[in-house]
Amino acid sequence: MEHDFYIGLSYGVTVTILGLLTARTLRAYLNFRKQIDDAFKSDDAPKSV
Amino acid sequence: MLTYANPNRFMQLARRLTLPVWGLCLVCLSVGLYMAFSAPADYQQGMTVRIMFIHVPAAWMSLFVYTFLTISSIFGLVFRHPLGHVAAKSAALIGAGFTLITLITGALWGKPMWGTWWVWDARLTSVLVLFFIYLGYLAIWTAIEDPLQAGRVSSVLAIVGFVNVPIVKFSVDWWNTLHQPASVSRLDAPALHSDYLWPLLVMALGFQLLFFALWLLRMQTEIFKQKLRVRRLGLVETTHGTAG
Repeated sequence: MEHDFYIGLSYGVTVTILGLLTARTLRAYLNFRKQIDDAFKSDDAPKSV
Repeated sequence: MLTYANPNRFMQLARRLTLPVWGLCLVCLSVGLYMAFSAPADYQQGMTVRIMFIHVPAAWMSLFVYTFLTISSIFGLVFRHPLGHVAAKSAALIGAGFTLITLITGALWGKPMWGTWWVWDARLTSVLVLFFIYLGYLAIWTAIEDPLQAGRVSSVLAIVGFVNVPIVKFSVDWWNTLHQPASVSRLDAPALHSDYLWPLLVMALGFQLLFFALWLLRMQTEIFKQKLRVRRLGLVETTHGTAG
């Protein structure tokens, strides 16, 4: 029973760290990809003036 | 290899690889976890042996990622490879994450097995130093705004810090440590039964793929950042030119 605590905590900590790393990476990727899309969309847009 | 020194070519390849690598990684980690929880209890450690299936692959990855970071830094600093510093920077946080996992799961494995969370023996201390080197490397990128200068300074730290990698690896052979010596990478034969060896190798492959999948995303993000920076500088120059 005591050993289950250490196993659970080890896997829990690992999933948390890797989950946070993945979420942070994915958020930054999507954020900058959107900025790039917006920037180049505005470059391609026809100038009305 | 040098073909992909061009960021645009690299982006094309990365876009094609990202989803398949994530898919393979999820399959590997799922199979690895199933095998890890199906492995029999060890006659000495009981079920606690299951911590090995995350602790050992994470430890391997912490050394692998640092070696990768150093080689990328050499490419950036010495050969002026345009993606060298970007590749190193993209790997650093992932390496720090794996090293942190190694330290925490090591402590959680050490408590029931050795009766202590931590001892200042050569292996544990050198892994802690590795974690601090990762943090120092990341701190340089945060502190210095100019990417060229940050790349140069961080590369020097990465290359000097590499001296710690063989110390981590061979610390258990060079000094008397509480930590056990290598059991999988022994030259004669692995000291692990196949019931434990296979889940360990599948989990290691899963961690390796996870690193590659995260690194691909972080590389693309860094290249996006560079493109935006160049565009902003171009706009500023254009504005100043028009104003002048």
